[in-house]
Amino acid sequence: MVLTGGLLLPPQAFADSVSSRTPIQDAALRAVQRGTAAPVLKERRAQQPPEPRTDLRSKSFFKTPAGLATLVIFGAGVGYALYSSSNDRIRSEGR
Amino acid sequence: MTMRLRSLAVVAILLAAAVPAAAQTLSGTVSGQVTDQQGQVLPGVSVVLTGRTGDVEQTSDGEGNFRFIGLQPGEYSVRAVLTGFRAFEQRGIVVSIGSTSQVRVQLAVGGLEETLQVTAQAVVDTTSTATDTNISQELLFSMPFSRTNAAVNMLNNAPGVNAGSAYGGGAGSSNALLLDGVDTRDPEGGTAWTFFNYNIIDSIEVGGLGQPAEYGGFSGAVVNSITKSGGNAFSALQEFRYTGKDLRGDNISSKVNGENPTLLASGVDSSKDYTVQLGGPIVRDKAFFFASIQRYAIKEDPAGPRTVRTEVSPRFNVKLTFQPSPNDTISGNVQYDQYNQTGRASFLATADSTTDALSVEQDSPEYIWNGSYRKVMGGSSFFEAKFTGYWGYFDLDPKNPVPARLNDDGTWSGGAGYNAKYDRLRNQLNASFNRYVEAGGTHNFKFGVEIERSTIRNRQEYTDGVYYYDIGNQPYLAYGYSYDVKGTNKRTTAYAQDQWTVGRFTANVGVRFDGIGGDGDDGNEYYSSNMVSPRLGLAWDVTGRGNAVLKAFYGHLYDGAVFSIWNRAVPGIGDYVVYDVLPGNRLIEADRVSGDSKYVVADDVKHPRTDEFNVSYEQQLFGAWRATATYIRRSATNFVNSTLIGGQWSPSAFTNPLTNQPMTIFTWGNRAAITQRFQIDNLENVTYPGAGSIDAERDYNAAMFVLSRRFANRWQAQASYVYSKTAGSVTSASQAAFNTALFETPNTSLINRDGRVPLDRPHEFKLFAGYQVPVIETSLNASFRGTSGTTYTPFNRVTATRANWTASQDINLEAQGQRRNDAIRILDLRVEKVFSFDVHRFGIYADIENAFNTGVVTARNARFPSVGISGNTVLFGSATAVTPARQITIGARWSF
Repeated sequence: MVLTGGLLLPPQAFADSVSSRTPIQDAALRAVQRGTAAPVLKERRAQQPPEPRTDLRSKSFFKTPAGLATLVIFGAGVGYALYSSSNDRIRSEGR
Repeated sequence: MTMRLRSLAVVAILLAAAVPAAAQTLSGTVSGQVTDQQGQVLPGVSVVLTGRTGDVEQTSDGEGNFRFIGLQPGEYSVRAVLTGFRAFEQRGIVVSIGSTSQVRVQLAVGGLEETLQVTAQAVVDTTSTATDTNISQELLFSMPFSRTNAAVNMLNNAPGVNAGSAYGGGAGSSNALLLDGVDTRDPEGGTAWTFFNYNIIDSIEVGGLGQPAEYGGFSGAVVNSITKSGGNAFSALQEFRYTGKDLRGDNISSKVNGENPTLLASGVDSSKDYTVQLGGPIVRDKAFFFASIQRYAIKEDPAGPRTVRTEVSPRFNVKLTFQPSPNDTISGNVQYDQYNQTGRASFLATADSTTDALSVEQDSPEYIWNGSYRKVMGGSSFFEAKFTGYWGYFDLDPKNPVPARLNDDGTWSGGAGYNAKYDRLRNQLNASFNRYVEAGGTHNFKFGVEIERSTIRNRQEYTDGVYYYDIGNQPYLAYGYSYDVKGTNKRTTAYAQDQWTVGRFTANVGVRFDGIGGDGDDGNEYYSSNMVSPRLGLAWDVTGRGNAVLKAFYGHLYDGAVFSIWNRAVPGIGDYVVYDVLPGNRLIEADRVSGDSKYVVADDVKHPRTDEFNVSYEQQLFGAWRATATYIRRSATNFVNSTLIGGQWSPSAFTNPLTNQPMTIFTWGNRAAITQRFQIDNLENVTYPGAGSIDAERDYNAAMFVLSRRFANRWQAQASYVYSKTAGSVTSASQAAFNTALFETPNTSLINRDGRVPLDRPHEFKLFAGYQVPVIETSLNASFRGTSGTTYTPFNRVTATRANWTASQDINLEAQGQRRNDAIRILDLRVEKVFSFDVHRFGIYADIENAFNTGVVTARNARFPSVGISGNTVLFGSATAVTPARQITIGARWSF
């Protein structure tokens, strides 16, 4: 939607530069006005370099050995910190 | 369609500038212009910005320009595509706090299946007049930075900053310490209160010179620490660090130990520190989480007679980010930190003489909260609101709950002798509105308000109500008092600023208004000061190619709202009572002095202020290099301290024990005629009748040279040299600008008071360098600091009776600052072996602090002829502190 909104800019928005426009600029402007200035997002995603084997954008990552190890270490870290917070505290008088 | 990715190294057409321009803001900007190969602007090009929380898309306007504003700091890529042209992609665009990263997109005729891929390289800002150091996640991750207090330690790594004193400013008390854009200092004295896990920091901006109007509450530097957030990809860090007694050196020489037998090998006996972190999406592109847990435990053999000091701190951080649309970001985070300490030095015996039995234990839990909302309105406006606060306390209780006793030989016994409780609640709301306007050039307007409310409560009482003075280890006098004082700081701030660029010139113009009030618990207002801070900066793009800038700045800087300025005026202090001690430890009251405050704050008191002028030239060199030369002048004024009301002073002949030459000191001449009362006021043309007058000031002049190279081709470096002079009649010690008793008598304010201040360091050289060794994938990183030693001035302690004053007086025996401690040369190293598998990075490293194990004397006894420390006589000029010995910390981490 953002792209569409941008492409619907009226031609007069570029009026100031009409007189000095180069052929390439004219081509660009025509492409804009024709609405052929590319479905950019789809193309961008298509041109991404190959994804790594591990997909960190998917929750299925946590079903892999590395994901499970992450959860186990994280859980152990949380657990020991909670244990420490209740056992290591030197509570001041009157608090 | 089959796509080909064709990478072309075309760096000549690209200029990306990290522009430290604005802000307590949490965000940065990416802007640029699209042109063809002839340099003609291309309108209507679709430009997509991709970050870790998704994509944002714009279309270049009639001038080919695009601007993405309100961006979370981090790494982004920009891709521009137009039919009939090769696609353009630039990766690795680093957006830092308050910066504008400029991207020049040049499209070449060709097919969309071809991509022109370029990398950023230039680093010169041609519009800002601020001089900042941005410490990226890359640097934080790789350098052997000390982690004990992330914000303060990062500050000390910046050129011109040492031991918390930035550009001649008050050490510790004059630096704004921002967490996610909002100040979190102790509202009592302006020093650090909140501590946080080094690993939760995403990036840090250290600034202070040429700051725009939105920055206030500092006369030293500003440290803005931005915490990590979750993104569309899951990320994690697991790190464990360990050091032990076998991994530290001993740098106390026999000479130093001979001068001061209390200086023995000391340092960390064991330290175990782990962090586990997890972040990622809750709903892709919409909602994200980040959680971090740390627990560290340190056991230390401190300097002096204590044998053990321990710290334990579990810390919990949770941050949620909600992005209902690409233009709206709502974020909230909470930290709980439960810090405990044992073996802390007693303030009675001081660190030099505290034994294990005389130590105190510390309980200090703390909650920090932060909420923010950012609304981006098109490519020209955004609104940001932040609310940050914390609640916490630290209590000090004696390990041995019996009264303290001071023997006539200077030794302490018994227990620490007191309980103390310090409570804090600080809340602050910041809101700002940015708008870019094209009118007679480009304007970047920003308007903002800040509201701060902080409450402070300090309590203390002696164990059993007293501590004892002994003769021959038998008590003969006891002394006691207690206090419970409360105050509320109220600050309201508004500012307006504009960054106005016309062609190659940019003017950064702004003004800031601060109204600071201080209320006591009795409802009375004890402090009120309003201030207006103009800021004017000019920048000139020297070549028009964005690779060199000449800039100048003038502005007024005011310190933050602090209770210490006026806390002596509030009620809450009990009577000071002296007892005779009779056999059987019976106490008979011998003297009582009312605890009612003797202090009153002047109605027209002006808040401590520093005026800054700087001029700077910055030049891009050889692609990734940048050289900067800066002249800085700062003049501190409006010092606030107490002076005796109606005092008369009488000259008195005195023999200088250092030189055996006659000198004049002063006694309180009309002590019998007036009651001792003090006015807290500015130290401008203060007259001591019968003695002289003073107009307190402190000036800092410096020339600063920085040469830096951003990370490329496996290495990065920054070298800096600063030549400076800091001199005046008020030191740059913490809170010296507003909280000492030095100016209550002419003995301590007039006699040999002017000169180089203790933290003056004429020469400072700092170097950071990092290199990733290929093939063996090992990272080598080094940090070197070499500075002049601090100054010290011999003084003689004159008894209260001799000075006819209510307390003893430390009188300087020669002009301040003529002697120096040793020059400091410290090298810290990190060596890390990296193993990378797929997305996973494993590292095993060693941090070597003080690799040369130098034992530089950083402080000497300035009292002439000697001082007693733990029963030892330490002569004038003898060492009292040495740099920490070499310590090796082993670490292992796994991140993705």
